[in-house]
Amino acid sequence: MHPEAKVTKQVSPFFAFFIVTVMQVGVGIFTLPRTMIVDAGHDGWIAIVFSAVLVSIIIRIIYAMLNKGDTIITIQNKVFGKTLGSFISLFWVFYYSLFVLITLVAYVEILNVWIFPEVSLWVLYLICMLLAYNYTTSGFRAIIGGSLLAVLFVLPFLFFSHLPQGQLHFGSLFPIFDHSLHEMWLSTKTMTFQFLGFEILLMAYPFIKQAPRSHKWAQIGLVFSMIIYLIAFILPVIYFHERHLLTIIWPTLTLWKMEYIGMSIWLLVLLPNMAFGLWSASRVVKQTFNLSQRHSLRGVTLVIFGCALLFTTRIEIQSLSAFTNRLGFYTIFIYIPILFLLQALIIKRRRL
Amino acid sequence: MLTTGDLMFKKHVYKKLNLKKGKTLEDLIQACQKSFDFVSYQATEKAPFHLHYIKSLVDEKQIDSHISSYTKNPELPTLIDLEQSIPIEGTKIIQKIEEIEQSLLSGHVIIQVTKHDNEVLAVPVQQKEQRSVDIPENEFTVIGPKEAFIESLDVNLNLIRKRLPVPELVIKEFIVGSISKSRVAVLHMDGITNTQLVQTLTERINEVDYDEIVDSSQITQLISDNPNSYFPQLLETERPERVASALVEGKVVFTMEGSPQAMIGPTNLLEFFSSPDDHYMMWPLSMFFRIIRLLAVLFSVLATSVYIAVTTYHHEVIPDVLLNTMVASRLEVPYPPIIEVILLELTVELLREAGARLPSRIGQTIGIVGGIVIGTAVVEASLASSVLLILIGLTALSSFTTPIYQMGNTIRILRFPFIIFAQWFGFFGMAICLAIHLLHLIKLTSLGYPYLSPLYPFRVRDFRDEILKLPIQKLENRPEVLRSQKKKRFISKYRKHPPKDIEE
Repeated sequence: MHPEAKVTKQVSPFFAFFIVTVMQVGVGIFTLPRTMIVDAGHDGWIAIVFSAVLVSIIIRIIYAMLNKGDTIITIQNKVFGKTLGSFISLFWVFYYSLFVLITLVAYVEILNVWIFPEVSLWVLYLICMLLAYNYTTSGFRAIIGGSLLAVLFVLPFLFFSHLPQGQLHFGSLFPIFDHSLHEMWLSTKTMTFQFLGFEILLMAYPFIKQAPRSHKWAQIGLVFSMIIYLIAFILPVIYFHERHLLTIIWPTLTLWKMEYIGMSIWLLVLLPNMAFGLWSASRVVKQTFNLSQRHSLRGVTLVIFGCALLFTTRIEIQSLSAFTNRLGFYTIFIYIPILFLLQALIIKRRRL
Repeated sequence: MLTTGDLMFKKHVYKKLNLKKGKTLEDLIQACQKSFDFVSYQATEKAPFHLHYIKSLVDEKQIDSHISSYTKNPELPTLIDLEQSIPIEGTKIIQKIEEIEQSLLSGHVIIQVTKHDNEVLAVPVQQKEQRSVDIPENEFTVIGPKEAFIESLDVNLNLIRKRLPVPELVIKEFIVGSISKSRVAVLHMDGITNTQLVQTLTERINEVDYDEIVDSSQITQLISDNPNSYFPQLLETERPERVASALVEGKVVFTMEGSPQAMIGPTNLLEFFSSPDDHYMMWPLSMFFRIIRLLAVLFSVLATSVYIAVTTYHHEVIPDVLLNTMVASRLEVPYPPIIEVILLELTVELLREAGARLPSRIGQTIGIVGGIVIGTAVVEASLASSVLLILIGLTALSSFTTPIYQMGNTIRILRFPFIIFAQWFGFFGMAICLAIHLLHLIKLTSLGYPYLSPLYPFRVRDFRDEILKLPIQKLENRPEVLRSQKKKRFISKYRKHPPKDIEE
């Protein structure tokens, strides 16, 4: 149905690492310690590890599924038929766009609060969207290049943290596991939001050379972002008191020595992140409705920009992220496994 | 089947061509006689030969000593006799008017038997005016060879050939420019260089359509992948040994008659910050200097914009200890940091431009006048803060560490967008500017090869010579990104050390 992605547009399997890392370590890292401490307290790191294990299983399932199909769109069309499949594809356009939206809104909120309280939000939205649009039109390989540079040069900035000698209380981490299983589960659910983003693979799969081999790299990317999250969680927990930490909206920034430079240059991490989202959303439109990707990209960008204007207060942003969290959780842990089972069933029946 | 219309059209074309072909030797001579330096005479009244040449192109001493004596000799009646007896290599008998024209205008003496004869003998007696091979001025190194290219293509090729005395070094010649007829030579190593790369370059040079080309940098502008970029996409060098090592690495090179540099491609961003010096020093030293150079470039581009961002938006970033000094130095400056910075940056650019245009001795004086007198005066009149003056001085200094002149210019320009963006949005503005430039660099290619390699596409093995500088024994592979035909340069053998007493 669709011509295979050309070899010149493909990237080596190794780059799956950068896709996963850049998509996962997004803007969420700034709020992570607070959101994790709400339910599981100082045991949040267990929830981080546990949630990473769950996501790792899902990545395995996604690869098993994609190895038999090309993208999520072709799989859905096979499983549900053309009409229903196309209809469900619309959901993916919404899903990918929603992730771009939440990244954009959350990042601009930080900029607004920390550096530019007097600048109108729409100016910042416009700048970010224009840049992300430019990244996307440059093609998949350019976005990958951007994410590679971001991981190599921007993520190390995280390590320039305050490490006040003598004020770190490692005792805060103990006793280990003194929260109930229910609390842990709630925390794990919150945490999955941070690990979301790897669903880009559902669309990017045909653009990876020898794609099955990239599975290993996707898992390594997951481990890498888990380590970054663990560091980002444990440092504030051993520095602040738990109740104090609950009142800080962006603990990572508060603890960071280079908060101003860091949060500005974080743009370089978020641009490939948003560009991947835009790219996937417009790609879904292209594959389903045979529209040119440039046109659909313009449409998606405009809609996201328009929606971003609606979110101005902290509460609105929080409810948006809660909604995205829930939606992402159910999509990944309910819909994807079901789709996988259905696909397996259909393939089996065809063989019989 | 041809229709009548086609036939008519063809006839018309033939007529036109015939008209052009109708030009005879006489017409040519007539056209040349308009110039005063065209000489045309009969050898003697007895001998039949007529000699034509352009005085300013030929070496008249050679005519006197090697040609005149034979043309005046009545025992040699034909051109063939003459050709055999004249003791100059490369004589030829030609008939085609285009060839005659070309040889006349490139410094041959044309010898005709009678005035109406179309067959002539062309004797090459070009006068070659050239300066001697000199010390490189733009890419000076303390150690290593000190020869630089000059304006003669043949001398330049000789400088390269004698460093690579193997038949695999292939040199192809092209004529570029409809009026200037410049000779361009394309060099590559057979069996090493990727054939597709050679093809790309030759195709692009063949496609060049421009009337007058005086310098190879003009060809570079015409063939570069993105003509609107301000990053140089081919590496310009005046050092023959740099060309030789690029050729052996598997790159292609072109150079032009009349321009004292060669162009190396494909290149990448980091290559512009490596100096030939790096290869002549012990590796820990050269690695250190290379890293210093890269840091200097970063500093040179970002320092003044950071100053603007900090003083305009992010006062919190200044350490408490430094705050007093900063406030004290800016206390009496009457305008915002952006004006202060642009004023001083433009002054530095002014000094540089003036220094480049003036003869070198006066240039030095200007440097001292500008740097010391104006600088101190500006601070004393509190028109700029002393902290900024130090920063500006350092940025100018560090931009001079770039070994390649073109890239130095790029870095000069690159500061200004960062300054403007820093004024607009502080650190965030600088991040925007950085994002735009990174995207541009990711997309940029040099002869179709990625400009940002070995960073992207990520080739860790290429780091050995491009970013780091490992010992020469470790540089056994050619850069992966070039996809050359032979990957290995040599097989490295590790010397065995005699066992130490502790191992016996």
